[in-house]
Amino acid sequence: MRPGRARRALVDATAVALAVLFAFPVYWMAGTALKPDRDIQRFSPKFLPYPLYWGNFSRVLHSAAFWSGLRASLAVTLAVVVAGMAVAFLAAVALARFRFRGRTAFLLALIIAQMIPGEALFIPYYLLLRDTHLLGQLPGLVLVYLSFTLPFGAWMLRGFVRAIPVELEEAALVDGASRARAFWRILFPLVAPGLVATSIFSFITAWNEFTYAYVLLDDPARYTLPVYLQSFIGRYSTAYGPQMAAATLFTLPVLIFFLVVQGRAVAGITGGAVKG
Amino acid sequence: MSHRTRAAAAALTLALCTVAACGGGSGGSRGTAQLNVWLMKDSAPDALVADVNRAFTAAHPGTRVKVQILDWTGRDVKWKTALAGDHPPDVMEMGNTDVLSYAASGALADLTHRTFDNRASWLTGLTEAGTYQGKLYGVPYYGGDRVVIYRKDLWQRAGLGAPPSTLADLQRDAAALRDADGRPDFSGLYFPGRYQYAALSFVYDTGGRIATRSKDGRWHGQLSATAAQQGLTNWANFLHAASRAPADKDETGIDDVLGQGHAAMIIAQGWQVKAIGAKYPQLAGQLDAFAMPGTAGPMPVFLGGSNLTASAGGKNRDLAAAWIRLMTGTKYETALGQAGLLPNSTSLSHAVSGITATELRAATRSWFTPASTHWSDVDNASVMQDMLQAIASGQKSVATAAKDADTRVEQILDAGA
Amino acid sequence: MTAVLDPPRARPTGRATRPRPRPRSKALPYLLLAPCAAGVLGTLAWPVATMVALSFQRENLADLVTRTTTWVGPANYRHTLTDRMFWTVLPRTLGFAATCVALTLLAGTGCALLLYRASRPARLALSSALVLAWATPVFIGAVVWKWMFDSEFGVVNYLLTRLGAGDFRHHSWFLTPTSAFAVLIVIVVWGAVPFVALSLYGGLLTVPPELWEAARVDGGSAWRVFWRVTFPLLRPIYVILAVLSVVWDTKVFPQVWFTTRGGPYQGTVMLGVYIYNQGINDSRFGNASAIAVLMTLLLVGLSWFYVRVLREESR
Repeated sequence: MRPGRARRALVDATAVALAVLFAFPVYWMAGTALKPDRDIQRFSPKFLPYPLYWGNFSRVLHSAAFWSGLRASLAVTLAVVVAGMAVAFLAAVALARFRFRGRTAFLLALIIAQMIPGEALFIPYYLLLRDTHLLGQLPGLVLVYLSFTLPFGAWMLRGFVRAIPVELEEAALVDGASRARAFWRILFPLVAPGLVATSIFSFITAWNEFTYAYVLLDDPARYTLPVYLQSFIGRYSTAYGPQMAAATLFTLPVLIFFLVVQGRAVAGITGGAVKG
Repeated sequence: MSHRTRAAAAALTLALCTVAACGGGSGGSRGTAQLNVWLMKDSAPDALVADVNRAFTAAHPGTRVKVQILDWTGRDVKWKTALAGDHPPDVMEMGNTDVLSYAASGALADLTHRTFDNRASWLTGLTEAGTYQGKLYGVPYYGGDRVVIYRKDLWQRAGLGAPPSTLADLQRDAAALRDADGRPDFSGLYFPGRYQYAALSFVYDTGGRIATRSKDGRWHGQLSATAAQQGLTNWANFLHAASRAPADKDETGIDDVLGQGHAAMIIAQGWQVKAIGAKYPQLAGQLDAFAMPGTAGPMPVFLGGSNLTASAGGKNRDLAAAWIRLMTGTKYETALGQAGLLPNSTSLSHAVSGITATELRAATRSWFTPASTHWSDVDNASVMQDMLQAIASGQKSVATAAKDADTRVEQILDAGA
Repeated sequence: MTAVLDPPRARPTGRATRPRPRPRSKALPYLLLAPCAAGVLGTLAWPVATMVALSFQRENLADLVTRTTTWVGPANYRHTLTDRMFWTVLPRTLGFAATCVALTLLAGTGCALLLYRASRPARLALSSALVLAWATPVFIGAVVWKWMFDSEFGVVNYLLTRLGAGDFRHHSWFLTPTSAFAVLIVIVVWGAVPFVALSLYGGLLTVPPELWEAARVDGGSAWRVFWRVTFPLLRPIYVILAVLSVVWDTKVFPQVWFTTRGGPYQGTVMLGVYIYNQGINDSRFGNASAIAVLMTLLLVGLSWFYVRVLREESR
């Protein structure tokens, strides 16, 4: 399809316009972080934070709560993503490649699990962790987050695994490879894009979650970053500058994670046996 | 592939180790008692709390005090889950509008027979907020009310003299300030429509009230009564004369409006003066305050503030009561007064000066929300704010808006557990 | 970026979907499934069972604190199903979700097509912007958007006035529920489009360009080409995205809570906020649980056609 140059220019212009529209709130967030207090709420908004004010970032980076929150968030999120993806992948293989009793029921359970509103589960989850003595512990929070992300992950990955022709594994088996090797060397790279998409979801879910972290943890030293972000909302006013600085820093790891995994996934695919 | 496997395994191990390391129990103190105190953000200064804790541990050897500062957002879910847990906090600071529903649930300890300083002269509003069925559950901690903050320079420029003593005078002064400025969006007194605690004062000013309870225990909304409607009408007239603020906003951000020169006066708490001066240095010496005038004398003010409660399920009830007694005792309440909060007792009025003294004087005529355990439901449903917004925007007449609000209030308060 | 978000193909592709019975240990699938079952059923099943049980109990704050159980049978369900507020909130939630899903799918399709047709720098700009929007935490996004629509300090009013769309100075966006809904739709769609757009873009990349060429040669307009060639090929992706969007947009909570709190006049209260209000704010945990059960059943009902498709495929 070779559209005319004018057509191309129009397409490009629309794309850039939409890009501006989508990125503007993020720009506003980062820009606010670089403004001093008095420039943040103004009747004529200041679009360019000039001169750059580093006080907000400085305040956040010097806050112990930020660093402990970052550590807690990273630990919890990485555990959820890595453990979750491994578990979900195994389950996806089982659901997609095997027939066994209870398969349909389990799949239905996974889908229904995603429909339950989280607002009604705060108390039940709290009671569960209380009675298993996991309250206030980060592993407890990891288990809770896994129960959110596993249904979606297993379901999505099942779709990806099903899309891969089973002949490829069978060919490897015929060639003498063990089942485990067949899974690992053939199936795994082909499912890589699915793993990437699902892991980004898990990452974002665990990284951004606030209420469960706030309710299920009781030691401020273990609070995750979203709790720190909320702490800028005072009784009568919100400290927007530092909050937006913290939010900007908070969004960065998600971006980094995305860039890292999508780069590696592409490398895996081009080296793999997938077409298209 | 194997490189990636190893990397993944390393990441997982590291993450799980960090998680496990962080998963130790919270402070296993054998032989020492630990008192868990939950205070709210933006209340007492940290240094003051530290002093109290030092004095407390000196007086009670073998005790440790652990203070956690709670945010205002999400405090409900935090309290409710903690009170259902095995180790509820020993002491909790609660906003005075919060206490009642927790007291009614049996989650708080009955403090009626404990000793506290200055009990006879506690501020009535705070005491009422902490009392349920005649028993004391929340000890008055500190109060806060609102005054009119004005810019002295703009005041002088408009040729105005002493602060107004009646509402009509204030309205006239606001108009003069607006004329002196001339811009169409400049407010003499910036008063957003949903500013319920300042607006409902007009109702109490004319002798009205929000709701009353009859002998059979049922609540009746009183906003459609003549007195209350008169108050609401006064408020609507005042808004139209003095303010260019939008009807759908509440009081967040009014400090910025004043600071950026779009208003000459705002209604806010006294400590805002210092905060605005810090944010807008050019206004630092230009701000002062006077009590909000009513139709006949000062207008009744809403007495906000906090109470200190102890959980019924806590393990250290005696220590908790002792800590509360220390915190609300004469010495530290005086320090709170010096820090700009209203101390819990009228006998400590010598402790406050400047604008805080103005606030304390205004607090002698105060009102409080109906003493129902379900009032926080009314608040969460924004019934009052919606009524005020409807009136301010002209969407409903005073009579209709008041009637609708009364119906809603009765629905919620009489709903039963 | 291209193959990253390759969507799952849910349609049968012949031999690939019928795994042949193999000579292997019958326990293997169960072993593979065990960790997931433990994680999901083990951790989720108990709270869900608690929630269902609570829906038949009174459970107010006193019950919670004193750990007493008061069974009230179907009283909570009866109360909810006869509550006028519930019957106002329910259609409102569905209408809102339907609008958001439709707009998201439309905008997502548009963005996907743009991404496909644009030159490299423009494509990079748009996909980066989409990722930025996706990566921003939901409540921060809600706070920033609320700010931008502020009547006094908001950027939107300022820009609209400057661009000559009328005098929007001091225009209140949260004065009426309708206007507040418009803002909420913007916030939800803004957050939802990136995933949809990037998924559809990945799907477009798997379409062999020869099919398009052939359709054009046969004399089709761009619209016909899309409808007759592209859409049928991407239909499985659309189905999954639609189901997910319906579920997510029905469950919206932070976007509403941090902007309007359900106001003005409780006009933007939807099921998520309603449950939170009943449960956490009013301490009517039993009632909140009943509403949550009803909401789950509703969502299952809405996606029943997909559930049926799934069961067919699984046989």
